[in-house]
Amino acid sequence: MAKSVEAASRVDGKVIQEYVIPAKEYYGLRMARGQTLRIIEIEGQQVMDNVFINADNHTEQLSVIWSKSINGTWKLTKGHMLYSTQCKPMVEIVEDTVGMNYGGGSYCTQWSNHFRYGDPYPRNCHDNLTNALAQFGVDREQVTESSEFCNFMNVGYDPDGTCEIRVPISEPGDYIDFKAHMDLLVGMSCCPQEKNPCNNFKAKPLKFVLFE
Amino acid sequence: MAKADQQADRVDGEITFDHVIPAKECYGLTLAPGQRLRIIDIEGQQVMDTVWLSAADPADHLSVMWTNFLNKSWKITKGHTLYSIRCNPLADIVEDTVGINSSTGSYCSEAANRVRFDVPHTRNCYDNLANALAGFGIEKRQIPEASQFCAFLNITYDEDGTHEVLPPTSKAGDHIDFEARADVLVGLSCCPQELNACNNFKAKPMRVMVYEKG
Ligand SMILES: [Zn+2]
Ligand SMILES: [Zn+2]
Repeated sequence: MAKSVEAASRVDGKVIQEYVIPAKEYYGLRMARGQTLRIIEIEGQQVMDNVFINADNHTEQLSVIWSKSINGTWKLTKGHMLYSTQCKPMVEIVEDTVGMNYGGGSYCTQWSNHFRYGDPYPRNCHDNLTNALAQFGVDREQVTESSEFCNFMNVGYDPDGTCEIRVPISEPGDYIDFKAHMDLLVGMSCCPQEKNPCNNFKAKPLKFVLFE
Repeated sequence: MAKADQQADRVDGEITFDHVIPAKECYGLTLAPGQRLRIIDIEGQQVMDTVWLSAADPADHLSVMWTNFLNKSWKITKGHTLYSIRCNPLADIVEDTVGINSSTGSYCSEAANRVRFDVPHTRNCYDNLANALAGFGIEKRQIPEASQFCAFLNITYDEDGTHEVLPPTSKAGDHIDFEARADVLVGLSCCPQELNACNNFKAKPMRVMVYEKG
C-alpha cells in the first residue's frame, strides 16, 4: 500500500485527539499510560522535537543517554524502550516506518542560532518546548537537553568522528508510534529550523494522532 | 611506562595545585581563564567524570551535545572546545595523550546501577559530582546529564548501531589537559563503577594538577 497521510491516520484503536501542528509551532499534551502517540509526516523531511516528562514527578524526565546505553544502540527505533533519568521504562517505540531518529539530545535554541548563524531571533525548539509544557507547570529548566528525542532527524556519527546534521529521509505518510509506559506530559516542537539540513532548509507542518 | 609518568609530571608552567583523588572519590575546584587542569591516569584504564559550569552563572553549564555539534565531532579530543548550553566556550582541550573520551553525557547513578546491574547502594558519579560541587552552592538539579564530559571513557558508536562501554585504552601516565576559557567550576568524580568495563571492573585513583602556562 502506498504511503499517505490518510493511510497513516487510520490507527488500530480509538482516536482521542488528531491535530496538524502548523510549521514552526508546538503542542503540549497529557498522555495516559497505555496510550499511543503517532507522529505523521505530511510533506516529508520534517523533524519533531519531543520532550517526555513523568506527569506525576516533573523531575523524572526522558534520558536519551540512558535510553541508548540500556538498549545498547544509538540507533533508537521500533522495538526500543526509551528510559527516564531514573532508568524506568517511559515510552516504547512500537512502530517506525523511517528508522532514522536522533537520540543524542538537545534542541535548537536562541543561543545556537546566534552562535551558528549570527541570528538569535528565529523561532527555536527550546522556546517551543518550554511554551508547550508551561500549561502543565513545567519550568524551562526542567526541559533539559537530554529529555529531548527527535524523530526523523538524521545525524551522522561517522567512524572518522564526524558528527553532523543531514537531510531527513522521511517521506509523506511516514510515521512513528510512541506508547506510554507511565502517565506522561509530552512537549512537541515542529522544528522551525531553516538554516541547516535538519528539515532540509524548510519548516513544514506535522500531524499527530493520540489513540488507545 | 616510566617515560609516560615523567611526561605526565612535567608541565609547561607553574603548578598551583597537585592532588591525588583516591579511588571512588571526588573533588571540586575553580579555574580562571587561562588556567589549565591536567587529569592523569595513574594506573591506567580509569575514567574521570567531569562537570563544567560557568562560575558567573552556573545555569550556563557544559552541554556535551552542543560540544559535539559545534566541533562537528563526537570524538572530542585535543584541539576541540567544550561549549556551554548557551554555546559559550568553557575550556579548550590542549593536550590528550589518549584521544578517547565520551561526550555522550550522563554519569553512573544509584538509579542506573539498580536497573542495569540490580545492585543498590553503590558509590556513583552522580552523588560524587553533587558532593564535589556542594561547597560552591551547586545543587544536584544544576548538574544535568548533558553537563558531564568523561575523560578516557570508551563508548562505541558503531555503524551497525552498537553503543557499548568498552575498557579504556588509557595507560599509566596518560593525561588530558583543559585550558579554561572562562571562570569555571569543575566537579571531578574518579568514577567508582566496578560493575562494567568502564574502568575495566576496578576503580582506581587519578591525579589532578592545576597549572598556568609558562
Ligand atoms: Zn529545532
Ligand atoms: Zn561513574
